[in-house]
Amino acid sequence: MSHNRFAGVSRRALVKAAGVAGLAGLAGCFDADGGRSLENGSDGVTLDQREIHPEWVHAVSAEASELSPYRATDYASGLRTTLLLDGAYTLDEDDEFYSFWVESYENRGEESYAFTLRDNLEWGNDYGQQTADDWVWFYNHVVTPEENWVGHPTRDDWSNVVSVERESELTFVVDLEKPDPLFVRRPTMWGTQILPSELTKPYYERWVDGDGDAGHELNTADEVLEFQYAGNLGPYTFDRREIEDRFVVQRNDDYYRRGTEPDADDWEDAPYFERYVMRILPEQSTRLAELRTGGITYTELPADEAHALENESAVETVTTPTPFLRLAAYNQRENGWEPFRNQSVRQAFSMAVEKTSIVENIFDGNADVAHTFQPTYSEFYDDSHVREFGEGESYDPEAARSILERELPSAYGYDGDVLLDAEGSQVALTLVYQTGERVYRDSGRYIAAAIEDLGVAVEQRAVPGDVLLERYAYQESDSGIPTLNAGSRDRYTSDVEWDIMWSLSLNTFPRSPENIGAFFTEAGTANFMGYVPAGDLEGLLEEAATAPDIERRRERFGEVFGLLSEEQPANFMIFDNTIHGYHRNVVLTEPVSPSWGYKRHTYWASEDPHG
Amino acid sequence: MAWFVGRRLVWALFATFLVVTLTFALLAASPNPETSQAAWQAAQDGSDPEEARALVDQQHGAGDSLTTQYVSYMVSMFSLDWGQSTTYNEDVTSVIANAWVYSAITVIPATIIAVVVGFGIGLYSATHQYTTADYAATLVAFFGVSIPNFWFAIVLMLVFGELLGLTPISYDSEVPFWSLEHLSYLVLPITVLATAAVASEMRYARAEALEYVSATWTKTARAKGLSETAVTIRHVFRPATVPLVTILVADLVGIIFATAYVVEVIFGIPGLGYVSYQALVRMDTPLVLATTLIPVFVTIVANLCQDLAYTVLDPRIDYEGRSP
Amino acid sequence: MTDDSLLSIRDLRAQFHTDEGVVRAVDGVSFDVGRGETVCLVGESGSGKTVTAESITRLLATPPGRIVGGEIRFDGTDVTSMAEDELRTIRGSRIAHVFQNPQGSLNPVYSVGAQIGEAIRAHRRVSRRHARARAIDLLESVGIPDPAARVDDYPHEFSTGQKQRVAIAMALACDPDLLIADEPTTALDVTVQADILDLLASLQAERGMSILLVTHDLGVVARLADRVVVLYAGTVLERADVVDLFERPAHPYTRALLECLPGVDGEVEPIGGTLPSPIDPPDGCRFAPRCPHAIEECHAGGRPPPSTVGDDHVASCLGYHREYRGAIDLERHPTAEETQRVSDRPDAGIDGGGPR
Ligand code: SF4
Repeated sequence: MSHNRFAGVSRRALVKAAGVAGLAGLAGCFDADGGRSLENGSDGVTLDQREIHPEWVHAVSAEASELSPYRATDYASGLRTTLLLDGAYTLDEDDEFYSFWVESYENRGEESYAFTLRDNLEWGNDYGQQTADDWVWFYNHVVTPEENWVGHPTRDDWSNVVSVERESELTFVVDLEKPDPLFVRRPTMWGTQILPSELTKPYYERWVDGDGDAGHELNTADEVLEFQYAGNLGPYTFDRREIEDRFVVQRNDDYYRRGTEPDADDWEDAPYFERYVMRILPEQSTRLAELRTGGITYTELPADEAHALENESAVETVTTPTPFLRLAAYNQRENGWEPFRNQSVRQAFSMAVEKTSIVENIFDGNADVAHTFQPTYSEFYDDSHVREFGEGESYDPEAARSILERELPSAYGYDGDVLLDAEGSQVALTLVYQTGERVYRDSGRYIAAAIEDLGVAVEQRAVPGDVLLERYAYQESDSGIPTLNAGSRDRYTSDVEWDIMWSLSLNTFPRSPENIGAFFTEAGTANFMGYVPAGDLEGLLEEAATAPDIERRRERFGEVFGLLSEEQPANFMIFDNTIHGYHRNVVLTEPVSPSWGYKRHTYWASEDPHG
Repeated sequence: MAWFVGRRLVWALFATFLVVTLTFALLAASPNPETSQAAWQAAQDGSDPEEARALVDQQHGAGDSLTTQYVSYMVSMFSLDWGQSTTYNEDVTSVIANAWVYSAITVIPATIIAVVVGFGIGLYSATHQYTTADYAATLVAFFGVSIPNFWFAIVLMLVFGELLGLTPISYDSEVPFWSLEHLSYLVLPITVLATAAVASEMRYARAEALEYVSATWTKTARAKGLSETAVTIRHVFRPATVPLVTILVADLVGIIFATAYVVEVIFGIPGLGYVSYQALVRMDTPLVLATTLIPVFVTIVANLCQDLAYTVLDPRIDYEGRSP
Repeated sequence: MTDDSLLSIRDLRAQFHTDEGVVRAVDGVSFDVGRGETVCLVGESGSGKTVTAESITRLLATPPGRIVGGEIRFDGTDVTSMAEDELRTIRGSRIAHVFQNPQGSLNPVYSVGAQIGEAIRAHRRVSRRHARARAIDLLESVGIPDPAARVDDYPHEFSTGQKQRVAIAMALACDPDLLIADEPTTALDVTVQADILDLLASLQAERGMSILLVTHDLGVVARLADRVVVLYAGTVLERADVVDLFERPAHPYTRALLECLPGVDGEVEPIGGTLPSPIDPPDGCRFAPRCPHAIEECHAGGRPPPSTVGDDHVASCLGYHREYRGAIDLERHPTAEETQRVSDRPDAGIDGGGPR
C-alpha cells in the first residue's frame, strides 16, 4: 500500500487500517481494493497545500422528504441532516467509537453506559449549550411516551434501554435491561441527532394538552426545516433548499469539532469548502457526465459503470463493501413450490447458480460473492462453519440434478433433460425480481437460465420494488394488515404466487447480528419466505445475544451463520459494494472500510475542483 | 360571445372537478410505495412494521376517512388554498410558484420556436414543393418526429456538453437569470423540446399550406399581380392558420408537456413536469391534485382561446348565431 | 394574325414533370387575340387549353410545370422573357383572369371588398377608402345588388353565381386590356350560366377589352366568340372565325365535335376513343387514333402542317394537304364501326382543368 497522499494526513488511520487487515476475514476486501482506490495520479500532495476551496458539489438522484432530525432516518434525508448535525458519535473503520458530540463513553458494567458530551456544543437560536439534559429530555419525552407523537421511526432502537439519567451537566447514563457488550455499536446512540429540548417542549406540552398535530407541526416548523437550532453542531450551516433542485449549506465558522481530537490535524480547519451544494440530478447519465467533466465533486456510482470511470483521469473511484446482501429467496409458504421446504432441494438450486459469474459479468466485479447472511469482514463470520454453494467446485449443476432426482418425491423425475412433476408435465417455477436497475434484470435472466439448466421451466416477472413487497412479500394478517410474516406458512401467503424472489437487498447487521432473527426464525417479523429452520437457530441466537463475553458471542454467531449456509433458506447471492466517484483533486483522509465516509468532512482538495 | 365564453367556463369548471375527483380516486386506490418501504425497513430492523406504516400514513394525512379527505381536498382545491405538500413540507402554492418558472423558460421559447420555425419551414417547403429544401425539411421533420426525446437529450448532452464542451451538461439554477450564460444552459433543453414540436408543427403546416398553395384563390391572388410574399402570407398562411390553430393547441400541449418531463429529468431542471411526476410517485396528494389542475387548466384555457381565435381567423364561424 | 394583335402566341410549348415522365401539355400552339376581340380556346379536358391560358401570365405552377419554348407577345412585348417583377405589373392590371370555380377563387377569410381592393392596390397607389369605394362601383357594374352593403361581406355569404360576379369584378379592378376567362360558367347552374355570359358580353361591349375564353362548351363558343381555336392534345387543329367554324368545320375533329353537340341535329354522336398519351404522343396526326378518315400516312412523320382552308381559316389535317387530298375523303360519312371507338362525349368529362 503506497499512500503518498495521506502521508502526514492521518497516520493514525493508516496504522489502524493495517492492524485491521490482520483480523479474520478482512483481507479480502481491503488489501485488494483499498490500495487501488486510494492511489491517485496527483502524487506528492502534502498538508501545506490544504486550503479552503469555494465549493463541494455532490450530485444525488432524489430529493429528501424529511429535514427534521426526528424524522430523517431514510438515506436521502440523512445525507442532508448530517451536513448540519454530526450526531452523538460515529463508528470508525474498525467499528470503534469515533467522537462527535459525545467526547467519550464509559462502560459501567454491561448494563450501563455513561456518555459525556463535549463542553463546546452550542445550539443556535439562543437555545444555549447542548447538555445531558437535552438527551434525558429526548429519552423521556420523545422515545418513551406511549404514542409516537413526533413520528420518530427508530424508537424501537431504544427497546433495551430502561432509563437515561443525568449524572452531571455533560454526562448522562444509559441503563439497559439486558446486558449488551455491543451497545456502543448499536444505532441507538451513534448517529442519533436530537433537537434542543427547549425547542421541543412547547410542542410536547401542546400534545399533552390534546393537540394531535403538535408533532407534525414541530417537524415542519420553519425553525426546524431551516436548521436554525443547529448552532455549531455540524460542519455547515443551512443556506437554502430549492425543491427538486438543490440543498445548499455554508461552512460553519464556529464548528465545534475544528482542531479537536481525535485526528485534530485532520479536523484543523474542517470543513475545507466554503459551501456544500447537494444537487439533484435524477438521470444517472447526467451525473456521470458531470463527474467526468469535473462539474461535480462527488457522486455515488452504479456498479456496472464503475470500471469505465476508473480509467477516467478526472475521476477517482473508491469501492467500499456494504453489509447489504442481495438474495434469491425460496418461497416455502403454501403458495410456493412445495419441494423448497426440503433443505436438499434448496441446496441443489443454490448449487446450480454460479455466483462468481454474476459478480464478474453483471456487477462488473463491483460486488462480493456471499455464502451466508454475514459479510466476510464481520467479526462474527467464521469461515470454518460456512458451507459454500455456487462458487468454484460448489457450482455443480450435474450434482444438483442428481440431488433433485434423489430428493424430490418419487412422482417427480427426469425425462432426458426435462424435470417432470407428478402429472408428467415440466416443473415450472416463477422467478420474480424488481425493476429499476439494469443489473437486477440481467442477473434475473442469468439466474433463470441457470435454473432452466436443471430442466425446470422458469417464468420471469419483473415488477416495481413496492409491488414486489406488497403483492409478493407481504401477507395479510388476521386483522387485515399487510405483514411480512402473518403466521404459519401453511396458512398465510402473499397475494400472488411465486417460487423464487431475486434482487431484494437485506441488511445483515454485522455490528449486531442478532437482528437477523427477524428474517430467519419461524416467527421473525420479516420472515416472508416461510422458512422454518431445521436446526435450533433460535436457541443459538439467544445464546449469542446474551453471551457474557465477546469470544462466546463470536463462536455462537459463527455457528448461526454456518447453519444458515447449510440450510440455504435463500440463495445468499452477493454483497453489494458502494462505489464512490470523486473529483481527482479530492484528497481522501480515511482507509477504505464499510464505515466509509465517517471522516468525509475532513476531505480536502489539492486544487479548487471547480475553479 | 359572452354567452359562449360563459358556457365554456362553466364546462371548464366541471371538467376540472371531474379530473380532480378522478385523480383523488386513483390516489386513494393505489398503495403508497413509501408505506411498504417504511414497513419493510422496520421489519428488517426488528421494529414494529405496523407502527412504521401508521407513521407514514399519518404523515400523508391518510388517517381520516376517505370522505372526509375528499371533502377537505375539494374545498381546498376550489378555495385555492392548496395546503402543504406532504413530501416537501412546504406550501403547495410555493412549490408550484418555484417550479413553474423553470418550466416556463424552456416551454415558452420552445413553443415560440415550434410555431415560428415549424410554420416557417412548413410554409417554405409547401411553397417550394419538390425542391431540395423541401426534401431536406421533410427529412428533418421525419427525424424530429421519430427520434426518442430521451435518447436525443442524452446524445445532445454527451456530444455538446461533454465531448465538445460547448454547453453546460446540466442546468444550474444559480446562474443569473437574465444573462447570456443562462441562455447557454437552456440551449440544449429548448432544442430537445423544440425539435419534436417543430417537426410536428412543420408537418402540419406543410400539409395545410400545400392545400392552399394549390387553391384557386392563390392563383387568383397571383393573377391579381400580388408578390409571392404577399401571396404566401395573405393567401396561403393566413387561411392555413384556421386548421393549424386546432392542431396547435392539442399538439403543443401534448408534445411539450410530455417532453418537458423528460428534459427536466435529464438536464436536472427543477420544473413543474418533474415536480408533478415526483408528487405522483411519492403519493403527495395535495401536490398531485394541484399539479393536475395545471395541465387541465392550460388545456381548457387554450381550447377556449382556440375557439375564440377561430371566430377571428375564420369569418365562417360565428358562435353568436350558431351553436359551437 | 394581324401585326397589331393584342396577344400573339407562337409555337408555345409547356411541359409538366410527373413521376410517370414529362407531360407535353402544350406542344406548339400558335394563335392571336386581336384588340376588342373574343377568342375561344376550345378543347377537351387535357387538351392543354388551360395550360395555354395560364402560360400567358406564367401562372402555371413551376415546378412541376415549365414553359420550354415559343413566344408570347403582349401588346408587342415578349412576356416569356420578362422578369417576374415586370410580369407582375402586367398581371391583374393589363391581363386579368377569371377562373372556373368561383367557390375556390375567393379567399374565404377576407371580405370581398378587401379582395377587390387588394387587386386595385396591387397596381395603384390609392387609399384603402378609395379602393373600397372603387370595389363598390365594380360590384355594382357586375350586377351585385346593394353593393355598398355587401362590400364587407365574406365570400361564404354570396351565392355561387354572385361569387363569379365578384371574381369578375376583381378581374376588372384595373381595367385590363385582356380578360382571360377559364371555363367561367362550368361550375354554375344552367340558369346562372347565361347571366354570366351576358355579363361578360356586355362588359366587353362597354369596355372594349379583349377576351380569351377557355371552354369545352360549344354553346358558350357560339354565344360569345369572334374567333375560335380548337385544341387537341396540346396542338391546334383548327382556327377559324366563329361563323365559319360552325358552318364549314374543316377538321375531322371539329366536325365530330359539332356533330355530337346536342341540339345541333338532335342526335348525340360521340367521338370514339380517348386523348393520346401526353407523355409519349404518337407520331403524325395526334387525332389519327380516333379519326375515321385516318390513312397510314396520318400515323407517321411530323404533325400535319396547317393548311389554309378559307379566309382566316386554317386546319391541320392531311386531308387538306396537296399530296394526300386524293387519299382522304373528308366528306365520306364515317361507318358505324368507325364510330364504335366511342367512349366519351367531348362536352361531358371535360372539367376544364389541364393536367395537374
Ligand atoms: S390528318 Fe389524318 S388522321 Fe389527322 S385528322 Fe386529318 S385525316 Fe384524320
